[in-house]
Amino acid sequence: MKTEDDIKNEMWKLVRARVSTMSSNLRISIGGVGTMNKDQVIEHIDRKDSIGEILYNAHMNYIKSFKQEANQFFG
Amino acid sequence: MKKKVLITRVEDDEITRYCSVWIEKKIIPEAERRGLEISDLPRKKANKNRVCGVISSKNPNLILFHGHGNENSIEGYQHQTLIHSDDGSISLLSGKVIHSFTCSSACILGKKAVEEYGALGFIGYKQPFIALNDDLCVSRPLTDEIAKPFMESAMRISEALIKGNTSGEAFKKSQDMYNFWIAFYRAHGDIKDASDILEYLMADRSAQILIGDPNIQAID
Repeated sequence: MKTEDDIKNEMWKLVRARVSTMSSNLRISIGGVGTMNKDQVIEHIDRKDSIGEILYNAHMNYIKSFKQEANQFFG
Repeated sequence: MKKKVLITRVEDDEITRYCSVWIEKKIIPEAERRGLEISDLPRKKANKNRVCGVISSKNPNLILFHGHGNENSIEGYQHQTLIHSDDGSISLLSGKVIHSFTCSSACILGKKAVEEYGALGFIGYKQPFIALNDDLCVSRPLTDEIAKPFMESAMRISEALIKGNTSGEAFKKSQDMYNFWIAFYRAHGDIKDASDILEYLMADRSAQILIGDPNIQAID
């Protein structure tokens, strides 16, 4: 049976996979940190550092929004 | 008596440079059209001595900070602290309406400014602001279609406050602009980079917050 850590690790992999599909000309700017390219972002996700956490949380909230929308639509 | 506005714009990385160009081309001309007295502090001028000096001497009605920050501070050029929640500088925000387009400063500093130091209104972000831009458009920020939804939504606050909207109206206009772009990219998921843009727009919309009286009008 998967532990909470197992699930979280899988979510991190999901975020990494998602960022990997970003177009190479895109830059992400995170306030207080600066501007990064895709490879730099992936490094932060691999390190699971504070910058990686910001992106992880943004992605989790994005996924949750689909669930909320489905609940609203289907009742 | 002329209403006064103080604007800081740090321009020390891509997103703050985008902000700065936006302010130069859209916000300042509007403020001039309205006959406001403008204290514009770009780049190196966005330092603590200058900013605190202008607030003390000119007593602006409206302050628009565009730069970096964290939960406890608003930063200027090269991350110099301009206003901090734990030193006397926060008292300078008393009696003002503030748009802090800086990361996370609404969390502690903004709340404290309104609840303990009498700032009339504080619109900012309770988490780091995230934006995307196209590196092919870095030299022409106003043509960057990737950055446009982020900039247009966030900067709507400064635009609306300059135009005499109340804090509540400005906040609603910005949230409405986020909603517009979110709906657009949801409906046009086939557009390149749509899902990436959508994800971070949603994060920024959720992070934006108004603290204080929504009926306050800094510029009338």
